[in-house]
Amino acid sequence: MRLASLLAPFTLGSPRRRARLLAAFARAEHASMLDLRLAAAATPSPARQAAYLSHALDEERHARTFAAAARENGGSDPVLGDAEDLFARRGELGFLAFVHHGESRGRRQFAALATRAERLGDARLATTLTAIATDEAQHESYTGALLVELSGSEAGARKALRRARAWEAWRTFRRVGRAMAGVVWTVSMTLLYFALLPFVLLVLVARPARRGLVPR
Amino acid sequence: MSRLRTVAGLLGHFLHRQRFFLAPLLLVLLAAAVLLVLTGGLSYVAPFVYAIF
Amino acid sequence: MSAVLGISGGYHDAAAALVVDGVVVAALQEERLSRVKNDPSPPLRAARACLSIGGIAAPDRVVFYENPYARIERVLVSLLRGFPRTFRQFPRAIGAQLGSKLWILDDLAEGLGVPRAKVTFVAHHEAHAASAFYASPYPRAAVLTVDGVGEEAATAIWHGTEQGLREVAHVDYPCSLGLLYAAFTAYLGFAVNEGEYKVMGLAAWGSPRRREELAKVVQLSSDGGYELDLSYFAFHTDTELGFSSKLEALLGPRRPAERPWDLETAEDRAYADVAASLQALLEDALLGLARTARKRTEEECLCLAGGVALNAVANARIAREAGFSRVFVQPAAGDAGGALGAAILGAMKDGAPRPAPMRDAALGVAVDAGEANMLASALGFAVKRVDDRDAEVAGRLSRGEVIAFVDGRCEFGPRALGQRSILADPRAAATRERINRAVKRREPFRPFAPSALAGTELRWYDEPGDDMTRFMTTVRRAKDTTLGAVTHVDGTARLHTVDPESRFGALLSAVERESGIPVVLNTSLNGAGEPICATAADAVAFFAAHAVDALVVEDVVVTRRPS
Repeated sequence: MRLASLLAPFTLGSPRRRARLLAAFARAEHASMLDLRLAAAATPSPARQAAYLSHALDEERHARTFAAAARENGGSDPVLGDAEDLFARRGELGFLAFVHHGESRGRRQFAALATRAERLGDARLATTLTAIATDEAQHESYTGALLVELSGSEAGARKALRRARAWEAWRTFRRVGRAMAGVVWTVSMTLLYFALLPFVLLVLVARPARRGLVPR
Repeated sequence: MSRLRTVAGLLGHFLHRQRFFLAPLLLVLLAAAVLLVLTGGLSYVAPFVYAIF
Repeated sequence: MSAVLGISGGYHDAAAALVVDGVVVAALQEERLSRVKNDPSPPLRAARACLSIGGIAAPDRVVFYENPYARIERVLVSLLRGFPRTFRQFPRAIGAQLGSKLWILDDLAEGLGVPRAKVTFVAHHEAHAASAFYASPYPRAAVLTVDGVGEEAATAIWHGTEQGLREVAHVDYPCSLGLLYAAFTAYLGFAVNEGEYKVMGLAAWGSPRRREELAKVVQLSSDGGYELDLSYFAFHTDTELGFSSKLEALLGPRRPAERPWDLETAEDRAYADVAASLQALLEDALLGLARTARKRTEEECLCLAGGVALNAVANARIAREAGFSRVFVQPAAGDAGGALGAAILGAMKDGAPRPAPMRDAALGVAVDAGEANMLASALGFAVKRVDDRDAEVAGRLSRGEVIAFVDGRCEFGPRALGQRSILADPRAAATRERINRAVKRREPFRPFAPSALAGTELRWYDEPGDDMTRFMTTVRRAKDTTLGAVTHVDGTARLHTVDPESRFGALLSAVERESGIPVVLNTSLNGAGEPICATAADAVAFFAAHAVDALVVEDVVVTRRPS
């Protein structure tokens, strides 16, 4: 991905940034693992259940690898990712399209970062990233095949992918909106807080904290 | 509309005679609720979240 | 017929429990299905699974384990009391309350397709008290509930009789033993809500030589009450950190989370001393409360609940020293258990009888061995079905193998009680090292528990089993070091006694025939940071990712093909 290679000098520049990026990857892989496990539990097809479970195992391994790499670069244990439950929210076809799209992006990103890491002389990180990019290519390929199978045609698969991309753009839009709303909320609530002095006095007089064992 | 039941429950709690003196705090919650509607719902995660929230 | 669904959640460890006509039909934590450890989100998956187990389309009533209105009052009042230091928390706390937590009853009604009028609540500590008392075998008992915080109370003493539960006394937030332990968990560099067990395990490696200093932090009074000096804490003004710089000034700097533990070093020994001192302080506080409960209720039996009741070492001391003849702690003593208490209270309010005493914790989803067979084959493992599962497992254990063992329905609560376990021979200490480093990837100082056939435990331990050893919620002292893999550094073990008539009991009998001792090392079936396995897919995924020798799912045995 062009953006990743452009950003690589910044993201891999110092051990701290490297640790932060690797921790973010660990979180993303963990979140993906959770979604795949939920998909494995939900799909009606035993073959796809096995495929999702196997994929989830790869993601779990990737998450562990990235977390270990983050620690080696001085980071602490990364916060674990959360599931989005895309299978339940978008249906199996929508879920697969999203996974396919994500794997494809991940593969390009990891490959670009591997090249960059090699140039920076970090052969170990480069090998790790290349190995994971290879896994991602395999995931991209099986989800691509399943997309065609489930949608019934190449055209159907392409349509599902277009929808996944559009949904992702919408999600990003909403996330940015939520973050901005969060800032507005925090600022306005902080202002409100300092207007609460009379209520503070009310509570201190009417509801002082009770200490020790209080009989009923 | 079923959420009105929760609003009524909240009002009933604060207007109860045991803690009617806390009723003014409903103004704080009302102001915050208006702000919340204006800014959209939010959720947060932190280890001591259950102590404070 | 009356079906009542109890729900806990919102803060940590969400769960659902179903009571039908006074019978506890199912109870399950959301984390087991969502695969997010201690998942706090509204437990809709767990609730639907419970309904499906009970064959119930829609419950007659849903009972939440906490009063959301009282909670918002306490949040607001304590934020105002902390003025102006709480200004950072105010937007976040009120945002979380008004944005989501206040609407939990509506979310449950919508998520479960139940009319909102049928969704009610009970008080947090009442739900805890009910989860212990009504699951216990005692017709009357004193009940002590101790946790982080509910609506306002952090500790409560109850009197359980044929007429129901009556509160005797309580201690309010912010004086909370749960939050005290959590703050020290953070100080020692462990994750809050997760690392409390580690603090308890670590305590055995130290000596309580800082106990005097900790008397400044928590004052115990003669009436059984206690008070925290809040200047040592920050949990009431900060969501990230539980303790203040004053605590670091008293005890030294906090331990960095990322540094690996090495108890050979003086530095880590000093942290173990802090853990031991905290544990001693907690035990003293709990003993004071328990003795007060005994005095005020004059009952012979005690039930404990709340997250603090998961402290097995403290429970053993209460059983020995508080003056009660019997003590009971149900396995899901933490917030998950609140779902069970809420369901029972709701059912009894609707006229259902008190449930029968809890015999086992296998209340979750059942495993599908056929599914394990299919998935393991698809992932390229060697799979076979065996006629005598117990003999197969016993043989493998005697050869030193470490087995992932799955049988029947999963356990309710954090303890592996023979349904979702990692099993191994309990004798060689090297086995413990192997499981700690290769499977659990956890700190080397943490102990593993023994499961022993009930009636045989006096061969290895100083005291017989009791109402708590059935659920692994207490400890016993080992007579010698025969069972090296399951004896902690201080000579104790978190003993689990197993009914010989149960399926797990039959397995232990087979183990005795093979090795001469009806004991196994039993630890929960999960990797580091993961919830315990529930389904066949979880078990197969665990086996694929961890270096255990075999996976046994009922009569299906999964092994790796020789490479």
